[in-house]
Amino acid sequence: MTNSIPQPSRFFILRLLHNFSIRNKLLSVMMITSSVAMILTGVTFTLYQSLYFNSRLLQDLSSQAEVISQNSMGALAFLDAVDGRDTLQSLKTVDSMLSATLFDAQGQVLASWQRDGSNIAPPLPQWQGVRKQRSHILVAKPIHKEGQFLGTLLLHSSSSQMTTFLTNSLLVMALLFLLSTAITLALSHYLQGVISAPINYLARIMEEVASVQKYSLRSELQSDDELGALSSYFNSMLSTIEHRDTQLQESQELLQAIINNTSSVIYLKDMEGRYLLVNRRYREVVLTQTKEILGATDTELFPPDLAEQFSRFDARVLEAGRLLEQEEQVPHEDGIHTYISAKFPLRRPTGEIYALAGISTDITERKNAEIELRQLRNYLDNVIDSMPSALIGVDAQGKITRWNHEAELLSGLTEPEATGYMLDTVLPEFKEQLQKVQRAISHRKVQTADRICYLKEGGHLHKEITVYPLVANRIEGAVLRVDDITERVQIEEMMIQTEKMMSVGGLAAGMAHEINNPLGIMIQAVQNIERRVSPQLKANLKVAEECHTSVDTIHSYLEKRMILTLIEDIRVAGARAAKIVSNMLQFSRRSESARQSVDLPELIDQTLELAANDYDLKKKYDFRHIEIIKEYQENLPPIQLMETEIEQVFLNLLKNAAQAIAEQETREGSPQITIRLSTRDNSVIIVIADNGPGISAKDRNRVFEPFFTTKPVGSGTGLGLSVSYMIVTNNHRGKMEVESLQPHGALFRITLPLTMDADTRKQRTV
Amino acid sequence: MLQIKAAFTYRFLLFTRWPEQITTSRGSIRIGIVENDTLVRLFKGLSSKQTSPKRIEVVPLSADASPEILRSCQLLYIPAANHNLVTGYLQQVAGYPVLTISDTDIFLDQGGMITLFRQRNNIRFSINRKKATAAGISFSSQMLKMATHIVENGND
Repeated sequence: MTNSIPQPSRFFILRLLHNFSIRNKLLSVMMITSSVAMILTGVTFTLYQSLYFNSRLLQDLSSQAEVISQNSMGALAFLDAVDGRDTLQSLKTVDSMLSATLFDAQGQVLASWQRDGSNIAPPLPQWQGVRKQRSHILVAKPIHKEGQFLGTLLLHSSSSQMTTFLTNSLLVMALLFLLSTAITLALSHYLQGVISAPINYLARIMEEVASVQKYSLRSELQSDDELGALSSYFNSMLSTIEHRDTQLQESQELLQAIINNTSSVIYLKDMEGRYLLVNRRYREVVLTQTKEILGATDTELFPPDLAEQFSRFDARVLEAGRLLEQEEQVPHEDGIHTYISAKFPLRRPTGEIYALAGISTDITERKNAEIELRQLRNYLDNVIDSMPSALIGVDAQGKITRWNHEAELLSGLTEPEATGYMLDTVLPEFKEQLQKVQRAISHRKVQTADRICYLKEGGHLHKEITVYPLVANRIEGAVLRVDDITERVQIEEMMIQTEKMMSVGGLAAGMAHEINNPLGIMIQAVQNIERRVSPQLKANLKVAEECHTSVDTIHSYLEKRMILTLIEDIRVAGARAAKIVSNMLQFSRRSESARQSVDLPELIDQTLELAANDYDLKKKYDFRHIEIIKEYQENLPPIQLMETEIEQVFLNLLKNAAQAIAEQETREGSPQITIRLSTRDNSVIIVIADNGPGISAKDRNRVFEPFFTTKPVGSGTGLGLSVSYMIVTNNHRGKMEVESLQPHGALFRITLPLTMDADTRKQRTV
Repeated sequence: MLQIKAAFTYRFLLFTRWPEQITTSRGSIRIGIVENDTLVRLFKGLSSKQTSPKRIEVVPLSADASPEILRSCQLLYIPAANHNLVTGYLQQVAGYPVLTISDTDIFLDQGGMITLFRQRNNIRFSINRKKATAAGISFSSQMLKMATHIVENGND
């Protein structure tokens, strides 16, 4: 804001004048001006005069020479010395003339005149015209008459006249100069007051304002010139300053009030670290009644380590030259307090740093709250992460906001990778859940469990998803709880299956028992009928004779009337019924047969042989056309199981496979059955797969149900797979599953535990 | 001495004015020298040196020169050796603008115009202005001032 005032000029005189008072300045200016004007005028005038005089002198001299030469022509022509001298004598009236000489055509002196009376004539000059010497002027003029050279005139004149003239004129000039200077001095001394008096008046007022800061003073000077304007500007400036002064005072008071009433500690230090200003809060905090804070340094006020901490920070701020923030630990009576200190350098308009200001705020409570909050958050995070369920927080748009550890395991994405993305981007299978999220938020009601099932790593996974709306703090969002219920679903399914089997088993056992007796009678009766019409039996012949007929007649009659065929049909049907009953009994019966160590590959080979013999034209399958692929793991350990039961299971599966292949109408490639044996996790896995038509998804859920069959009525009992399932799951504590193969085919997987644990063993004995 | 006399005579030309028609019609000044080869030579030497716009023609005259020739000259120099011819010549040129010069004492009395004589170591001259004026010849004041004696209107 400080605009510089023009500095003293580099001209010496102006520099000299610079420190004069206005009065003296005005005087000096006027004197210098008039003197310079006078001197210039005088010099110019004298110069002009001397030039004029000089030219006049020369002109006079040449006209004199002309006259003399005209007059002396006769004397020269006829060499009359007397006449010549008379002519020259006429020059004595010219004061400045010193001598004159006439030379004839031959250069001899004809006549000569000297003012001093001497007769020494000068020599003939070798030049013509005018020559000026120090105080003389010489004129050499050749004289011609009608082109004929008659002689030469030499005039010798003094220039002292000129010198006298110049001296006189300078003298007059000097007198004039002195006179005019005196008059100028007198006049200007009197007139300068017109300018200097009001300026001095203004200066006095200024001085008073400056010395006592009395901004209410006003200049009363009034005129229409620049000084009047200056006075009024000055007055308006004073008004402005007075106004600003008031404002400044007010704002200073305001600032002081703010500084003193803030809860922060505010202070100002000079470059040596001495306190220039501290607010009330500072005094309250530092509590030094004994020491004066202002002017003291940190070292004098605080313990050495604390003072060191403060001054290190100060030094950093001064070095950085800008605001820096830092937390500072300060011991108080009630323990250590944390302050956040903002320190910044104060600069002069030139940019030079002259002080350091600091504002320190006690943030101890906030700090503690922060720590508590952080601990609480960590605790909650831990709680959420330790949940066995995957918990996924989403906002109203479905963007993920929280993602616990279980969710990371579920998706394979870490929390930072998932947060902020849409739920259906991270977990596409949860797409339908977004609607539930919306519903949960809008209805503020928990959306109950929804099960989803998907294939993962060769098995079915079942998830149960519950959506809880977040209602607290007006934050819209929801939490999805995802529970893995695969195991529960499996157990449930198994229980349902077992329950079904058990009930069917009980029913079947009763039924079989009841049917077995009449069936036995029927079969026995049919056998008896066949035997008693047989011609081979002697007893039949004897009875026939008694009845006057022959057995052959009766036989042929029976044959012709197809009765024997009918009887055979009865026998076959009876045998089938008996087999069903036997199966049913087996289904329900707890096997008492002992377990024995079995070599599985051997057992399977044995079963294959058995199946090959079961060739049945009517059933249209031919085991000999089917390629059997065996993939056995080497060194399979022997397994404890009931050989006949497992053999029955294998036979059943192989037959089913062969039948399925046979039923297939169109075929790609040769018919195949693959048998795979392997061990995993203390169990043996037996896989029997075919490349037949496969099992539809709908049927797959029911294949293990009793009496469920896809075969035409009469060709299957619908119990084969049910019995197999019972044998595997119930009698051997294993697992039996079915899958469809791509592009076609079915796969049955049987998992049997290698060792029977105590629990199952115990259960078995019940 | 003869040389100075020749020079004087020559310088008379500078201060002498002939009737206007004579000089303009001829364009040159004819000097007649009577029976003196030395003078002729001196005059020729002088006239060759001079730078005047007037052309000088030097004519040697015999004792029996015809009056026409005499009258055609503007200046007639009759040396003292031929003083016996003076009267005859003067009679022939009387009334014509011919400046007659000689160096005898009685030349002016005989009716001549300028006579040269020796005074101490210098040559001086006298003028019969009456005769000259009668012949239409005038002299400059400077020349008149230099003359030792001037015959005015014949009553000297």
